[in-house]
Amino acid sequence: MLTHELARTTDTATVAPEEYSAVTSMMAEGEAPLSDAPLYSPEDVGGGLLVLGLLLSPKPPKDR
Amino acid sequence: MSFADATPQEEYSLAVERMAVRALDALDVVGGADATAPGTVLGASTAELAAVRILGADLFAPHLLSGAPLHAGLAEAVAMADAFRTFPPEHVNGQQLSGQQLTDRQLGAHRPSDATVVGWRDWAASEVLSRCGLPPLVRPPAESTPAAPEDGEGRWQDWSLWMAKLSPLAVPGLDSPVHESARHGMRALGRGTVRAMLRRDYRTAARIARWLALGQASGLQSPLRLEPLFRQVRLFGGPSARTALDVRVGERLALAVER
Repeated sequence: MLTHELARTTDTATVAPEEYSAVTSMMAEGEAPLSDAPLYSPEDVGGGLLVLGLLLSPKPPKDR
Repeated sequence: MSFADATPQEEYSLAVERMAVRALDALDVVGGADATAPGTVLGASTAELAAVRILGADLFAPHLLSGAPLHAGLAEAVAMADAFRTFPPEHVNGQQLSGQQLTDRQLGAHRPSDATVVGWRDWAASEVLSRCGLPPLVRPPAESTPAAPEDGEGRWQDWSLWMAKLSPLAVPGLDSPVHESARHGMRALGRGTVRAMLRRDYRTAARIARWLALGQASGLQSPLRLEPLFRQVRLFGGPSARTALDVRVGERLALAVER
């Protein structure tokens, strides 16, 4: 088969060092460098909610 | 497909994804029969050969999981033999040896290098190839395999990550010191999987969980329930076919216990 023979013409001389490096690094793929998991910081949320609540709360009626 | 301005890494990533899709299709075929149409050539380009090399033993996962006979005429076997010729183990392994060993020495760490990871993956691919009737090409790495951490030892993170890198070895029929280490470290593997899930690193979670599924398939108790775990990774793990392949292999291994 011509297609088959053409496909088998690659040899080591045609592979560049960066191609070897790419194969090596993809074989030894590590974990994801950064996690996108949300960080739990209740004090930030609580403080923000408190300030927001104070700003939005209606003022008490004035006594005359 | 080749892009003039794509780096080898980008080009190979695409090729690996295509090859993983092909392996997934083969897994869906009843009995794990060869899904390749007669006359189809695998590894028609350097990128495809690189993909074959990167997937390694995973390329044969459909056959190994179903117990379908392996023979030298398989498209996968022919492609793997070609891939070993194009990317010889000594070239691939030598690319990272010097830098990695230097880093390890500077850190004073006693962790296995990436060269050992590549060495074990090469051994697994070569071992499957030899079962196809082709001569074995790679011997097991000389560097010692780290033992599974005991309960309370702090190195379970590094160890479980190392096992994640060796996930293609987690297929039925292979046995080595790495497998022995996995059988003794089920709890550490469970911790590593949970950590990866909490980090939302679903790819790493699926790779470690494959070892849990293999342990479960060999009669050990998994510290985690694997069915909901794999379902979660399948739902949230993104579009990567490599991750999907890890999940599918893990599910098939876990399913083997229930039968």
